Amino acid sequence: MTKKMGLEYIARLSGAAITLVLLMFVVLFAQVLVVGLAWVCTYKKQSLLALSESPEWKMQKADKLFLPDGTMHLVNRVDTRHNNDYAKVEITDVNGLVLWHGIHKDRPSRYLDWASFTQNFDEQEMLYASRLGPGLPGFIEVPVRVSGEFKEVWRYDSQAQVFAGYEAQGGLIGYLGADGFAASKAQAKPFGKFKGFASWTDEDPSSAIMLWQTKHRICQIDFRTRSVEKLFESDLSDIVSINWHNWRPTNPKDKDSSDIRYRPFIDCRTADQKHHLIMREPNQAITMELPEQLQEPNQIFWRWRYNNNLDFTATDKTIFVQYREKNFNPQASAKLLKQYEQEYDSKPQPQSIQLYKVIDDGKLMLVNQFDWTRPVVETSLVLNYEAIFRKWMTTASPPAFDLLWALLGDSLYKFRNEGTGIMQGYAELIMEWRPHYSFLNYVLSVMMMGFALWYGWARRTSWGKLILWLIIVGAFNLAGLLTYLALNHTPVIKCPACGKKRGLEMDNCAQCGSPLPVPQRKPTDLIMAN
Amino acid sequence: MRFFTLLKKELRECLPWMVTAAAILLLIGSLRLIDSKQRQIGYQYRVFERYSEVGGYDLLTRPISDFSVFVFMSAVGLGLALGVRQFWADDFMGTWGFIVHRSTHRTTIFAAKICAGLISMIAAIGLVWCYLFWRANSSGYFVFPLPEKCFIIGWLIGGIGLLAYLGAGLVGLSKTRWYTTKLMGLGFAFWIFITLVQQWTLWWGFGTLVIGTVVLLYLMWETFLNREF
Repeated sequence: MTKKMGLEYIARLSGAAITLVLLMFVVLFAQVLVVGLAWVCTYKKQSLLALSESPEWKMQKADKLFLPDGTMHLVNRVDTRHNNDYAKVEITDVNGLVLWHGIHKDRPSRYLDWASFTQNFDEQEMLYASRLGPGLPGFIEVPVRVSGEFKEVWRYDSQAQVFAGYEAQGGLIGYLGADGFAASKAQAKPFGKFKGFASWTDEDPSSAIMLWQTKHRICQIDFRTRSVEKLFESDLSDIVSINWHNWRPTNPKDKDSSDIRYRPFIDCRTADQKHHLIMREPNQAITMELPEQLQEPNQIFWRWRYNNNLDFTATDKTIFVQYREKNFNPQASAKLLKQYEQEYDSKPQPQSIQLYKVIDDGKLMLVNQFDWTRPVVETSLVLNYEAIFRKWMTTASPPAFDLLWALLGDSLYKFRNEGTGIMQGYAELIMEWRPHYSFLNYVLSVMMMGFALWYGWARRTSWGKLILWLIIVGAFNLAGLLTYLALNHTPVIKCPACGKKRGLEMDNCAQCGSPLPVPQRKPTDLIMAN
Repeated sequence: MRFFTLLKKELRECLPWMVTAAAILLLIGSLRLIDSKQRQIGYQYRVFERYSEVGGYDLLTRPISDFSVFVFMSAVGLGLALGVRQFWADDFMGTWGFIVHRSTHRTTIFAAKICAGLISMIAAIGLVWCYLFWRANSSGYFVFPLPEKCFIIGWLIGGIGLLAYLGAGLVGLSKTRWYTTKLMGLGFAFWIFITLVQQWTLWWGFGTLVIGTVVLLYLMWETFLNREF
């Protein structure tokens, strides 16, 4: 192979790959557009039929709330027009006896509130803000004002993992690290790999206070006093999640009038399945190792339905744990999740909610338990035009997407749910627009291959090339066919020897092997005369 | 010698575009700096209220946002203009014949064109960016010195103009029909641009830019060598 031929091959190969990728995006854009338009056109026809109001469903849908003494009530929303506080509700006991009905905010009993997710800026958002595009990157900067006048600013240095402070008029103040203030960057101890933060103000709004979570630490940073309080540190096990309750100070005017007095606390879960409760009023730290049946899996693909299955709260008298058992135990593969979900929804499922008290040594004591059965989910009741259109449109998607899903499904799922940037986007595209092993998709792909074979038969330059193109068309469906047509179109003529169609790309006819006819020489043809 | 003669000729043709882009970037950037200096220092930060939650995005600032957008727009504009001027305009003017039938190899002609394009982009965008960054980093514009990363990102964003230049050049050189693969060069440049702006580390950013540049350059070279003019 000569150097020039090699150059041509590489250029053609890269040109074909680029064309294929771009045409895949064009086809995908068309698919999204058609589904979007179809959805808009049928919007008014969407009929979301209400789920059956059987007693079992009523039980399933009811909020199951606990009073501080452990009694459980079922709270059913009667209307869905208003938001939570202004919705009409009906409160019953576990036997269905109606105790009260009226507007939710006027309810006579105050139930236990549970800790919730703290971060308002997480690792993914930080990476997203650090992107390289026009208008970016972004930096986390915390200003400090004194009597309304801007005095200093603290910027997070993601490489050194510390905050650097600067005076308003210029000049370095110092650094804030895991061990507090330091005059130089070398002296400041890095916070560690960033995971997320939440920030707020108290009665003095001159600057924000931050709850800064890293892989192994939780720190509270007060920029006004240039101080760092280390709330939790775990060198052996990664922090998986943190929830909080009552930690951020609220305006005394907005205080809940209920007689439940909550303690501010943070629930920090580590990868070794331990829960670390960091409490205030008074300061206290408890590490709890929950029984195996109460532990939540760390895998992301279980988290969606397991989310908040375990809740904590702390009053001035007791620490409570609420556990909801849904019996949803999929196998450890995202590829099987959908199938498992369908099986799970197709059968009645036993459910349970349990309330525990934490006793002094971190052990749990069962206070109350309520069991019921969730009826079968009748998905056919919901007529979803978008899903129907999407199903039809994905018949034109590449079967190669299904192959990728079969080979790398778990990785794609992880990328989509935990990744950031372009890989997340690609994983999402593949997962959302793959044909789901549809029979119609295979039929369409075979038809595309048939068309490519018919089109390429007379134009073929070699069998190997034609077969390779047929494989590409089969694997990429419509995008593959368009690529083939874009890169292989040549005019055809009727072969003077055999009378069949032949392309002009090759000197010899693909059917009979005859060369292209040479024009007859004329006596005055000086150039070709020799 | 032939290379330098060609280079001079190409630079002469690029000069009006280069000067226009540099002047626009310099003017808009300088106006932005003047505007920034006239405001009260620290104006960009939110004033907090008592007992309120402070969202993460309330603390997120983008110190070079305006400048990088100006650099981006100037670089892409200049890239497209140069791509069209150097590789497409000769089609319209019917001057390809004069260029490719010089007594030199086509690679030399191609190299001279690309070098002229690169020099124009560096002079118009790169040098002006260096000046704007230096001015912005002088006292009175920002509370603290801008990190070096911002300076490098400016160059990276200017590099997107290079993609636009090569993409437009490939479109200009391609003799296929516009509804088949003619626009592929610009489509690919756009795809690389989307991929690049989703990166957050400089290594990946420059890696993406280099891959895109090499592929486009290679395709252009191959097209230039084999095209019938």
